[in-house]
Order: sequence, then structure tokens, then C-alpha cells
Amino acid sequence: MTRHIIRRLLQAIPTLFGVTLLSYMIMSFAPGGPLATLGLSDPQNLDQETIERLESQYGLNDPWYIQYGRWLVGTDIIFRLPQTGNSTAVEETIERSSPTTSSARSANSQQGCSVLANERRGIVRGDFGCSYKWRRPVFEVIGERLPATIELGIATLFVSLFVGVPLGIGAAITRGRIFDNATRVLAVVFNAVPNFWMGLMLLLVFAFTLGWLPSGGRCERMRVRLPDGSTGGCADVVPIYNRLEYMIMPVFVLAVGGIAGYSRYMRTSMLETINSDYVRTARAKGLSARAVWLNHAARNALIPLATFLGPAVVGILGGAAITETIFSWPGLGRLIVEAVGNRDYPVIMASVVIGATLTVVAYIISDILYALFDPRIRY
Amino acid sequence: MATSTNAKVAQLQEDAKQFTLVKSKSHWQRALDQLRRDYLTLIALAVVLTLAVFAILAPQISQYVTGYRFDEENLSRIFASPSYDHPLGTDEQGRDHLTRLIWGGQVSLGIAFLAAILSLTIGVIFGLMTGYYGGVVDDFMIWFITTLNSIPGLFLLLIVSSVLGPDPINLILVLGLLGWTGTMRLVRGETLALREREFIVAARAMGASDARIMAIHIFPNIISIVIITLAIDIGVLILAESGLSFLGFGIPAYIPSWGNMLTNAQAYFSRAPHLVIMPGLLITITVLCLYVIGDGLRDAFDPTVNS
Repeated sequence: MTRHIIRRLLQAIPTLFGVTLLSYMIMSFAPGGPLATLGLSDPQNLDQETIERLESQYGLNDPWYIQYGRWLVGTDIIFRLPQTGNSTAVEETIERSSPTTSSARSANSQQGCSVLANERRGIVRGDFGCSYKWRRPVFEVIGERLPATIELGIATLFVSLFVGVPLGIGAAITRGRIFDNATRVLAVVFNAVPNFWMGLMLLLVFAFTLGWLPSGGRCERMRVRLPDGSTGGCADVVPIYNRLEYMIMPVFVLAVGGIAGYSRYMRTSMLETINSDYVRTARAKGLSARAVWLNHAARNALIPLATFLGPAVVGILGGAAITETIFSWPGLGRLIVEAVGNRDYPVIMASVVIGATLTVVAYIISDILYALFDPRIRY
Repeated sequence: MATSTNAKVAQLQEDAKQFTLVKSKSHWQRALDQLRRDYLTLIALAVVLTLAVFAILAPQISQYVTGYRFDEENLSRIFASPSYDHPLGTDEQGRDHLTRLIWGGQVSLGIAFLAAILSLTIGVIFGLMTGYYGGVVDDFMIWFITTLNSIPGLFLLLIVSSVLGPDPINLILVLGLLGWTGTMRLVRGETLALREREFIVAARAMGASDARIMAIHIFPNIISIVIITLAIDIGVLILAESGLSFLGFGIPAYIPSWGNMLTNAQAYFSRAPHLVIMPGLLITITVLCLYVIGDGLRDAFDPTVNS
């Protein structure tokens, strides 16, 4: 078992390497490059010489694979750039031409970081670079957003399991009758509803018309403000039971797919187990139907559900981009939507790497869980 | 004795005649027969075809029936309620909502259909090749799609479409080039199973080339899977397109699509909630019907389902 886990972890390395290579390659094809969004509100008013100096200092003149190498292992190991001009002069140029960045920066002057290519240490050493937009270490920006997404993700997993599994068991018990058909129809319908529209309809009904639920955000008082104006510190300030009403709609939108999937899968799995010998034995012993269904069939039917953790994490992270945008939830999904809009490449890359790592880890965990639950599986 | 033998032979010949009179049904005829009795699938098919006809005829409908262009603004009539002039009201720039819905259908359905064709073509070709050749090609492709699938789908779509910029053709390429991994796995699995079958061995023994075996002997056996996948893929791609367009990274804002008509939806809540309902409802109905069609086709092509 330990050997299997180690092997799976080693297999994850080429996958994650491929993820970074692929994303970096795709982004390098962007026309114009990130200079336009380095915090320059109006790059046209810079003279050609300054633009060239900026490009060379950010390392944007080099081919994408060299930039990728720098991003991966750091500038001090490979392809150190020649020092052209004074780096503080460049920073000042940027700040002069961009009032928003300089105000954001002065608010966080102690956390400020340099976007210069020469000061990069590479992600293999934990340096995710510096956000072009906010001039803060990407690691910090992500660190503020990730807990919100994890909170949402765990709540979603719980809800989809605790609603989906009983529905599936119920559907299997009432096979062919009205409850079974109703859950089947609902599962198909909920799979066909676009999640952003479902979010909008919920907002329209429960927040706007009825006013029962808050229309967005993560907690009532925006006590902690991030430089981009969103609230990120709710978890530190407001206890979770005071934030539950903010989670109801986002979690529902994210969990609907999982509920539909789990209930269908649980039903199939139940119907397979009730035809097995041990269930027949349990019946022959004269156990009550309830004991047979719940203790013998359902517990064994749950085993294959462990393999659903990986796809569930993929679905939650993907859905988070849309759901968090609709409900102004300050998480990773909304961060990547904003970063893509700003062409904030260090933040995009870091979000992709974190998202892919979470996915790969989820797949490995579901593998391990499967082996733990099912003693017939041997590695 | 002789007469009874003759009678027996005559009887046997008669039986044989009857036997040959029962025409055996081909796989496709059987599937068609099954479909013809599957009313749910037929209704879903009719709905999708109706929407497709509206989408194809969008220019004519907006010219002769509704009488508005999709970008015809009328700033004196913004957020109008449904009326005789505007059966579904107008949006924040005074554009006719019904006209935009019909044009949006053309964009959403067209993009999803073309992207599905593209992704199926790639998926089938790669699936056939990896399944048939195996070995290093297979290992590389499996590594590649594992990598691709490790990136949460929407993240990748967001990155690529932001790099390429919002444009219908780019969107077709993005969705088509990123969505083929599922099809490839499916086709690869089928090809792996078919590769060892006797008729393939026979074809190879007769000197058929690899390309011929894949195209003429294996492909016809997976066509039913391809058709089922096409129906479901179009549905999935409509959802992906509308999600991307909703976030502003799919279809540019001036072209209506069912997704980007909802981009500013939160601003409609107070003034015109009906603008929020229709685009999403149309997406849901279309995708639902496509899923039902996919399910119906699966049953029709599956010989183990009793007719």
C-alpha cells in the first residue's frame, strides 16, 4: 500500500510538469504580451525606449521556453538577464503611469514585491512570482483566496454526498416506482440546467424578490478588505455558523451536479449489490428488509463512490469560477476569472498549478480510499 | 416409405421457404424500429430540430417576422415589458429580446455543433490510432490526456479563450480542441477490444493496410458510439459555451448568444426580470432534449435492450 502511494505520488510529477508546460505554452501565444497590463493604465504614453527596457527587464523578449525555465526554476540558475538600467527607475515609471497600482501598492508597501525577471526564484522553490496587477507575492494573493474555495468545496462535497446517497438508496428501493422515476427525471434536468443561470434564478427569487438570503459575499461586515476591494478575511473575523446563510446558494448551485451524479451512481451500485450472494444470505437468515438494505447492501454499494472524489474536485473547481463570480465569493475561481481578464500571468499560472495539484491529489486520495474501503483491492 | 420421405422433404422445403421469407433486419433497421417507438426521444428530436430551423432562418425571421435587427438599438425604449411590438420586451439598450434570442440560438447551436464535430473528429482519429497501435503512441496520448484532464476544465477554457480573444471561430477551435479527451478514451477502448477480433485478423492476413483496417473494418463498428456521443457532446458544449460567454470570454458582447445575453443579468433584476428567464430556459430545454436524444440512441443501438 505504501509503495502504491509513493508510486502514485511519483506519477503525479510528470502530470504536473505537463500541466505547467501546457499552460505556459498556451499563454505565451497571447498577442501583445502582458506589458499592457503590467499596471500601466496607458502604455501608449511611454516612449519606445522605455517599453523596450521594460520588456527586457521582465524578460518578455525571450522565447517562451526560456521564460518558462525562469518561471520554473528561477533566474539565478538559468538565463540570468543582463542588468539594464536601474530597477527602481522602472518601478517608478510604472507607478507614475498607473495611479491605481501605486495606491494599491502603498496600501501594502511592506508586502510589495518586484515583478522583475531577475528576482524570480522559480516555483520549484516556492516562489510563485509577483502579481502584475496587485504588486504582491502571488503566494499571498492565492493564500487569501484558497481557504474560501476550500470551505465552499468541502461544504459542497458534504451536501452532495448526504443528499445524493440517500436519494440513490431510495431510488433503488423503489425501483420502477414514482420516487425512482422522479429522481431520474430530476437528475437529468439538473444536469441540463446551466449552473450560472441556476445561480441567477436563485438570486432573483431568494435574494432579490423574497430577500431571504444575502445576494453575495462571504460575511456580513466587510471588515477585512483585500487590495482589490473584495473581502477575504471573513474566516478570521466571523465564525462559520454566522456565515452559513451566505453559503446556502453557492453550495446548492455547486452541489446540484454532484447530487444528480451520486444519486444515479448509488442507485446502480445498490442494484448490483442486492443481487450478490451475501445479500441473499442475509435475506435467507430472515433479517428485516431494512437491515438487508441499509447494513448489507448500502454499505457495500458505497465503496465505488470513493472513486468519485477526483471528478468531484474537478467539477467543484471548474464550477467555482462561475459560481464565485455570481455570488461575489472571494475564492480561487473568481480570482482566476479576474486574473484572466487582467492578463495577470503569474496569478493565472499559480491558480492553474494549485487547481491541478488539488485535482491530482484528489485522484490519489480517492484511489487510497477505494483500497481502504474494499479489502479485495490489493496493490 | 418413399412417399413419406418425399412428404417430409416437401415439408422441409416449405419450412425453409417460410424461413427465408422472414427478412433478417440489419443493425440500423433494428435501431430505427426501436427509435420509432420511443416517443420521448422523438419529441426531443422534434424540439431540437425546431430550434435548429429557427436558428438557421434567423436572418429571415428577424427581417420578415419580428422586424428588428439583433443590434438595432432604441434608447427610448429600454427595458420595455412584453408588448405587441416587442413580444418578449427589450433589453438595456432597447434591442428586441425575441430577435436576439433567435440569433443567439444560431450562435449557440452553431458553435456547439461545429465544435462537437471538430472534437469528435479529433477524438475518433486519436482513439483509433492509440487503440490500434498501442505501445509508445498510446502511453504518450494517455499521459497527455491525463495532463489535460488534471486542469479544471473551465480554467483551461478561460486561459485559451482569453489568449485568443472573444471571437466565434476561436471559440469553436477552443471548445473543439479541448473537448475530445472523453471521445478518445471511448473510441480507444472499443478499438482495443475490436483489434483482436477474427475479422480484423482475417483482414490483416489478406494484406489490408493499417489505415484500411481502421477506416473500413473498425470505424463502422464504432459509428453508433460516435452518433450517441455527438448528441451528448453538443449539449455539453452548449453549456460550456454559454458559461464562457456569460463570463465575457466567449462570444463578443455585440453578437448575441444565449450565454452572453445573461452577462449583465444582475442589472436586470429590478427592471426586467423576464430578460433573465428566457435565455437560460432555452439552454436548459435544448441541452435536456439533446441528453434525451443521446439516451434514446444508446437504447436504440444497444442490441440487449428488448424492443
